[in-house]
Amino acid sequence: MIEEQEMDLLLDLLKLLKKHGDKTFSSLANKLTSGEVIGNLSQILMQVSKRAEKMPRPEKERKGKQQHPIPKSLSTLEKIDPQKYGILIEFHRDLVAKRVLPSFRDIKQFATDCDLPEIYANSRQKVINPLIEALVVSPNEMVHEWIKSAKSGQQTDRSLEGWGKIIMKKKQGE
Amino acid sequence: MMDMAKCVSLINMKGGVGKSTLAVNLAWQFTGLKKWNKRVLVIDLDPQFNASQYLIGVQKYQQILSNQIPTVWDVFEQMTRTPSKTSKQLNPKSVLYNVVSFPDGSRIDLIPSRLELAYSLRNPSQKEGLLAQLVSKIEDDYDLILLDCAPTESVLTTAAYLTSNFILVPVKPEYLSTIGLPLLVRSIDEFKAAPYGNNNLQLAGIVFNHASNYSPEEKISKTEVRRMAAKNKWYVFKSEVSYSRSYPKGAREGEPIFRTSYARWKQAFRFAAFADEFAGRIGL
Repeated sequence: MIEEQEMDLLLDLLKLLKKHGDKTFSSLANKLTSGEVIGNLSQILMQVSKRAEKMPRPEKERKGKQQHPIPKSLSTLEKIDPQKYGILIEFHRDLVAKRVLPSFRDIKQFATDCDLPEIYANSRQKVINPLIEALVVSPNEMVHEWIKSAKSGQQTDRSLEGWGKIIMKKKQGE
Repeated sequence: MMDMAKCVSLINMKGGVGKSTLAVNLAWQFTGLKKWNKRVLVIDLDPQFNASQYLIGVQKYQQILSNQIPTVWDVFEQMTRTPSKTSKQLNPKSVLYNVVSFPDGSRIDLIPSRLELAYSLRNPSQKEGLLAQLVSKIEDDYDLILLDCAPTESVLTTAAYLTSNFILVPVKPEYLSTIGLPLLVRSIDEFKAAPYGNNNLQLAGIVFNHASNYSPEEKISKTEVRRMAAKNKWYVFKSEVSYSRSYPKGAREGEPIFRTSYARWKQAFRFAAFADEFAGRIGL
């Protein structure tokens, strides 16, 4: 009498039989019953395990995890204007990693300062791609300047350390 | 015919009342807003150079020092002779540092200060009129000149009085801060009585700075200041500059209140209301 759990395994095996074909199935069944395979079973299982790790994840799963896919208009730019593409792809990466314009408001303010068309989005995550798309169609020299100023804006020119160097140096020099 | 520049000293004999913050924000208000479009010069008359720090930041200030661009110290020391240097009149344009310019012609220029200005106080003789002389040569290029003064009685204060048409007195509504007010009035009275006194000097008014309308101490201080002002016929501005954490933040960012990140519009509107009243008082 076949147990319930054995029935489940049988159903799974039938699915695999359908997937791989009866020829591969019976060939492997013959090898598994031979003493040679049983003797090297642990080694074989390790090889199978390593191969499973190297297998790429399905496309659907990868897309689900990637929260900031590159906008289509930017991808198109790669062949038309590689230099601008390079600048914008780096800017896109910096935005995603919050290395530049770290808040939603920073990005909105940047768009306003650059006189870009109004971007309708309600989160930082959703505003990145429309911003990049607006930059794709903006004049190259302006885009270059805007991105430069956005990046330099992250470096403070008002630090106590900076003023300290000016003030203390003077006192020591006297 | 062009109107003469209005020259206003921001002064209080008590430190820490927000003079520099007020001066810089007024400068931005009258240049950065389309409503005004003014040409503003800020003269930093404080050896602690807070207005310079706020307006231009570390790098530009370092450039001024490295390139030996004249500062307000040079204005006071231009006639000083040393064994290695003979006295030479300063070119007025050479001390003007442009902070920001707008396409409509409005702009903020700065005469920066430096620590060494404190040393000018050690030998103050015949220096008090030098700033007024220099300003008289450039005032036609401006609508408003704001002098951010040091909180002590010195040759710098006299120089500010000689240069100005108006005095604006920021008062922080708290006990020790209000005592700076009678000290200042005494200073102005003594100046007017002096042989070189400028009798056209007017008190534009007293403005409550850092006001929150919250603590009983603040209310008492305001009542006392208003009482003293009424007795002496001094004007107290109806608009107050309210306390906000955005003001120090703006100084760090080098931005006025209306451009400081995350500053509430309420604060910007309150400051704008004060700026309007101030402009009305001095006829800007």
